[in-house]
Amino acid sequence: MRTVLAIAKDQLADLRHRRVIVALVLAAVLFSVVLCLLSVGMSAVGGRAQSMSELSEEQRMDLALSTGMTKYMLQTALYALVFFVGSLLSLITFCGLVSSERAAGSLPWVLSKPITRTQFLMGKWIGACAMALIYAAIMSAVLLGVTWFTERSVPARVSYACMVMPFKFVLLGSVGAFLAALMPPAFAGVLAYFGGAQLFQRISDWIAPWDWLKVPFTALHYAAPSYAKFNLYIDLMLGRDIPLPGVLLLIAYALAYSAVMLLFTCMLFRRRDVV
Amino acid sequence: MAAIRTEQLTKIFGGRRGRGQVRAVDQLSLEVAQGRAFAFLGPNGAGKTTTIYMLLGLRQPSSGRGEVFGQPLGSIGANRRIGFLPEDMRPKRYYTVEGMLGHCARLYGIPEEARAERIDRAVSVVQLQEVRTRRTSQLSKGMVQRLGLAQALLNDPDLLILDEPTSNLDPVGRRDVMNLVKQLKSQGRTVFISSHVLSEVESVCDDVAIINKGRLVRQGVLSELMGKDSGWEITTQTLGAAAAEEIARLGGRIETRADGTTLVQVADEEAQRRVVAILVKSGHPIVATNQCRSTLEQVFLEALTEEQP
Repeated sequence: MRTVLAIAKDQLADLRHRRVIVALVLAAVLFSVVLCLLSVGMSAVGGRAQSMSELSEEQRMDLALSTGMTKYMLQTALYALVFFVGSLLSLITFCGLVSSERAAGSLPWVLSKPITRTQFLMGKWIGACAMALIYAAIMSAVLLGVTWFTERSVPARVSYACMVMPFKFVLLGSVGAFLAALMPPAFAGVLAYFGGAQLFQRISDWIAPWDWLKVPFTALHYAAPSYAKFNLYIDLMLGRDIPLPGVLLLIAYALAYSAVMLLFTCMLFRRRDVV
Repeated sequence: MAAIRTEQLTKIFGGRRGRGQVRAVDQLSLEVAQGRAFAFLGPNGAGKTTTIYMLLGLRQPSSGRGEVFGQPLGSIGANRRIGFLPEDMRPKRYYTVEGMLGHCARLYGIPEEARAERIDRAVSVVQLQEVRTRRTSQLSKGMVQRLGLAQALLNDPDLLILDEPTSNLDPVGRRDVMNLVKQLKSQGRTVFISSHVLSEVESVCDDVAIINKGRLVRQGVLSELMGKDSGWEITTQTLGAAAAEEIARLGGRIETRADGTTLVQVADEEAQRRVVAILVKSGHPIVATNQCRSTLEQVFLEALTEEQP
């Protein structure tokens, strides 16, 4: 286990020193701040409008509603941005678990040490998960802060959305890592991002007239990960409650699916030429 | 037990149905005895690095088998006893020298209490004490090579595999590495060196294997390979007609040098003994007698030429 943790620590150090990752995190934080300022601006407009005695009661209600909606939309936009950047980060880190080490030329001396391939991959995977968690923690803090600043309270749905976030990243990344063991990392990243269950469902619907063609796509629909359940933007935008059992189920699903993906990746990596 | 033993080790790259296939290593059977320095030679693309990678388990053989200290290639047990310096050592840029060696020590499973002492020792052996807190990205190529050696020595290996160990090193560095190899050999460790610098290998290695296009073309004890079929030379001040006739009958070649001495060349040790006896009997003073040895370079080139179709 110590070896695995040593590799995980090294992976985390590696990711911390990659410019593209640092740039993405900084960009996400920067955009969050901009959105936060916009959000504050909207609140101010709402406040001024309510103080205008010349507006009728109906006009005042409309204005309050529209500024409230704008706040929700900003919250959703912020969440979507955090989610998108996080997904991108996950794909970069997980799809490059082995290829980045190969590109850096360190694989020969690292794997000549008395460590198994499974230990190596596990360590890299844990390091990437830690990175996803750290990013999710930073951005959740920003999101919760913005929400509290604009609403003077943090609704449960926003907290739950933040809870789900890192697990979606781990799920997406694990799928990417598995695919990267079969194809170049860039293709793996694109396929992992777009190749969810919904895509195969759509293809299956599209080719409905040719029944015999549907079978493989229907199978893929069931086998592929279902990302749609993790997209909580609509709930946030509409201010809809997200039930806690549903959140826990999503987390369990992400963990189970990721574990299976990791197992497959280890199996593929075990008896392969790595240099 | 041999340090390394391979039987018919083969690595094929490329297409599955025969098209575009490249036999990088072809039925290679090697045996490296413990406590010896073994030179693994071959031209570029001969399959040296591929063989090393198979010994370390980084590449899977297409067929054949091998073992290191009786353990399967690439197993934890085998790799625990190996220190490896790759041809192109590329350390992680974000580590300091000490940090990088600490990481390697953790990968070797060296207990924390022993780590600092091992790192100190490795750093002092390769003379990197002055830069131990410097980032690896700020090291010169020679220093990086020394760092590579340090990480290979960290686990006190019984077998040291060095792939082009003196590349990137200045003459002083090269001499240091070769001295280190001698030192390790004297401690009973096995050293497996793949190198292009034949003169250096010649000075430290006991055994040699030469491969070309993946096939083993020559293997043996270095001194035997270099001494083989190369004859003897006897230098004398003068040579009388009777003695010259007798020597010619033995098949000796006589040559008078510009300085007035006479050089007699014979094919083997037996003939050399007889010539010496003739010269002593006839009262001709012997200036020198020595075995003509080929250089490793000659042996190497000869082995490759013999392989040409």
